[in-house]
Amino acid sequence: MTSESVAPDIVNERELLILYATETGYAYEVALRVANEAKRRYFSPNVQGMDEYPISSFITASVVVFIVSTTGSGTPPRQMSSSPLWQTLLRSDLPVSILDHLSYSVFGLGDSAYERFAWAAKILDRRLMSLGATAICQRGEGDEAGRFGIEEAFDPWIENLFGELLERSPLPEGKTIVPVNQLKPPRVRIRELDINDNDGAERVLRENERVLDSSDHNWVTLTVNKRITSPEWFQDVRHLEFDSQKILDYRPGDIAVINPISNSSDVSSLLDGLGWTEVVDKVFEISPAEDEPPLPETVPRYTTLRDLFTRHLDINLVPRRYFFSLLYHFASDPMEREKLEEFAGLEGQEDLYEYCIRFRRTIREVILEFKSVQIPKEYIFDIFPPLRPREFSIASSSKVHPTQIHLCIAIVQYKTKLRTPRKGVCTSYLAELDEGTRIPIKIRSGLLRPPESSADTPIICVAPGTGIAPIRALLEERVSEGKTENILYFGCRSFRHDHYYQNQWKDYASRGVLKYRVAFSREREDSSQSDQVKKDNIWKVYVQNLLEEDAQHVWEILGKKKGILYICGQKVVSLNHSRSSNKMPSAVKQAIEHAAVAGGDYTKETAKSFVKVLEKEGRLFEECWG
Amino acid sequence: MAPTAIYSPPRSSSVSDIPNPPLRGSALVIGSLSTAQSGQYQSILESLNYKELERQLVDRITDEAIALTPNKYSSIYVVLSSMDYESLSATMSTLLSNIFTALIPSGILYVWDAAHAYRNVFSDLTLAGFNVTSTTDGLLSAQKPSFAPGASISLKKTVKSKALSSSLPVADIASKKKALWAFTSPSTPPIDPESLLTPEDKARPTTCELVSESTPRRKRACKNCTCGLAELEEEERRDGKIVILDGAENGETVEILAHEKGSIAIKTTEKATSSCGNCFLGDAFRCASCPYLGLPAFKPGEKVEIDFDSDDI
Repeated sequence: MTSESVAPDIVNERELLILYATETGYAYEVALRVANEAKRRYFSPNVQGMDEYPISSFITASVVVFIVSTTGSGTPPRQMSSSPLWQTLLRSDLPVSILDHLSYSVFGLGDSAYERFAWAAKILDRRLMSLGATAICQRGEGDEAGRFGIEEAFDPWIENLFGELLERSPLPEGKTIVPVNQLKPPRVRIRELDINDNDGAERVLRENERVLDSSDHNWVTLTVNKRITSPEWFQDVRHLEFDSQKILDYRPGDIAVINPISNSSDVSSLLDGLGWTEVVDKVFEISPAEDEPPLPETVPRYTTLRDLFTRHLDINLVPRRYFFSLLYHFASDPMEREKLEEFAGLEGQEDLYEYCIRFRRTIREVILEFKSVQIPKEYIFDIFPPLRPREFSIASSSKVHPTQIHLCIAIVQYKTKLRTPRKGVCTSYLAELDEGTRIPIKIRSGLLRPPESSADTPIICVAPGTGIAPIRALLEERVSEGKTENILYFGCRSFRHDHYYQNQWKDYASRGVLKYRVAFSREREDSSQSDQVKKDNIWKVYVQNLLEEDAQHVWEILGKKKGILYICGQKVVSLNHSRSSNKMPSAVKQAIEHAAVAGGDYTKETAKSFVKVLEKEGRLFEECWG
Repeated sequence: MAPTAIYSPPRSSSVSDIPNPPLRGSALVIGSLSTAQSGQYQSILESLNYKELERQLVDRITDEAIALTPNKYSSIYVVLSSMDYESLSATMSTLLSNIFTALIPSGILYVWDAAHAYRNVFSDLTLAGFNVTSTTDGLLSAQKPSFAPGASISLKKTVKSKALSSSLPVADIASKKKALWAFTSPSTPPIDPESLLTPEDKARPTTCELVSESTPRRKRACKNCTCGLAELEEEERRDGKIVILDGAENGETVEILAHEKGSIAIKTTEKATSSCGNCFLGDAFRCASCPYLGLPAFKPGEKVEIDFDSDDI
């Protein structure tokens, strides 16, 4: 026996694994574009979420392309940070050559307005390199703040990538690269079922249940849907309670995953606009088209257009370049077609930004404006992105409410230059949900964890606005366990209008189990201050101001007693779509540094290292969103 | 407790003092036809008392008739004769790395009668990743490291540059990697990936040049804008004119200053008209000063209703 005679596993050298980690769906769209480019060059792409791809297969993959977005603070999207793949890559016991068989390339999406620009892509790239993997071409870094958005970096990156890949695996004999303006074949095949509407509805219902049952959902009933901001306040924030009638097992910091349902009149208007009024409830069977990978488990095999567009496809995302590169093929009016094609080209990116992205115009609104567009049903999975489940921090402790899940969510609604207000799909769905409705909720673990030790480790929680959600879970649990070393810094605008759970905090404080500090950032505005005072905002108090005031005590807890710091909430407070530059987590960290100087023996110069110490010792938890 | 199992050696390769370290889990004994014939294999087997004891003939492994399960055994005993070592000399290093993979961390390998017939035994053990813990003329023991936090071994240098390189089937390296990849120890701390970033990585694209109304702009101001774009945008927003349809028969429009808006609620119920013809088509086709900007597309002559107040939040 000679080793030469042993054939290695048959590897299709044209196979191209594309892993994405997306927060808003943009990185997913970019991944589809890479797949499309791959197909034009006769590669077989396989697009998968970083959290979906089986980790055991990764070690045998030979070429992988990563498309990774970055959240504002520089943390990777959850699809990366919580993926077993990323956690494995971070293991310190991996041999430095374990990936020396792997060729890869990373494209990162970022916004250079943030300091940690494209951070997730950078750390992924460096980690792969440090494990011996070979970069096929230089990392691409798309900058949303750039003149052409991410496109400026994307085009050269994709050219380099496929230049190299074709060098290794040239085009098959006699083939040339498929022209860019040739419409790709559709993703799915559709077969109409000859079945009457009643049986059809039943079939679709059963199929949706089957799809749901394949994942580990808890069926829960909405028992409370209460607005907790005052009726006259501009923002609608809800306290929701769900009951499952059985014991739920979750910990403080865990996340509730909810599948949104699109607004029915939005769905109808789109389907009417596409000329499908007569067939919205016709049942059909979907299967992957030839040479296409299997469909995700979450996609029903038997469905109707109404069902797909209500539960499975997103019609409210803001469309990007890829969407237009497909859509223009389906416009019959020459002027519309030309305009759509423009948005698909590099030169059209500035116009596209003005038209869609800046004012958050949705896929549905675009299609309704381009009235000549007729989409063949086979292409709906190419044009419409999947409706992603949304995640919310659980606001209750399962020790206190064993069968319940509480949520505290801000209903997303804001105005742009477009006359119709923009609405969050999932929060609008939840806001309109009637008490008594049963919905499936999945539970997954979050970034935040209660102290490991059973001793009463002191904690400081900083939670402005709806950042209070995971902190309420944590405090409820600690109080139920008899732990009393709890400090809460809550921040809101007004004593009366958005002071969430104030009775609970006051009750805890009076029982001596919580030190409650609250910062009102707009409280004095309606009082009789002079205009000058209002203008100068001198009455605005934020959580970081209170932390600075309490510097000695903060040091006592974090420096001397080795307590734990939790920071939760929205990073950038946006009001009336002008982005305020108030970056909450960094302001809070500065206040902590201040405490290290005031109480400990840190100097202004070395204080930053104290926050690093907290991070290193696992004494700083951050759950913040953009 | 990580047993370093220093076994006090027998003078010869007798079977009287067989090491039975207090390790839980299963053990594997690898023998050969010649040690089976001499009876050494059987007597070693009998003397071991593990709950789970597996046996295997060496050529089954070297011929790849079977693959050892990674991370399974707490001890592996190699009972071969001098003759075996000589005939297997080309594949011993492969065998050792397979054994390494099959051991659990801190697991121990015992090798009989290797010292004379198998010259490279020490270097091959080291290359495979073992720490040799004890040697006598008859018996040699070596331990798989427990992977102290932060420590990493280099497969690249050993596998690629040394004896294993070209003679080792690709599949073997792959299975070794698979095993290491699959091996998880919950106590292993993760690395801090930020520490891998270079100063160039940490940089971001340069911020913008100072703006004026005439220069081409970035699309929007950064949050920590220093170039003046944010102020400019704010000024434009404040002083910008919003055009509101007043519903006059002739389609006349009024302009109001943006900051006055909100106090006025207007319903245009009259038939909308367009002089350029593009107003009907939607924002993608409208001019920058089109009074219908922000409204959906509509059909010529269709009534356009806007209620400014109900949209306000």
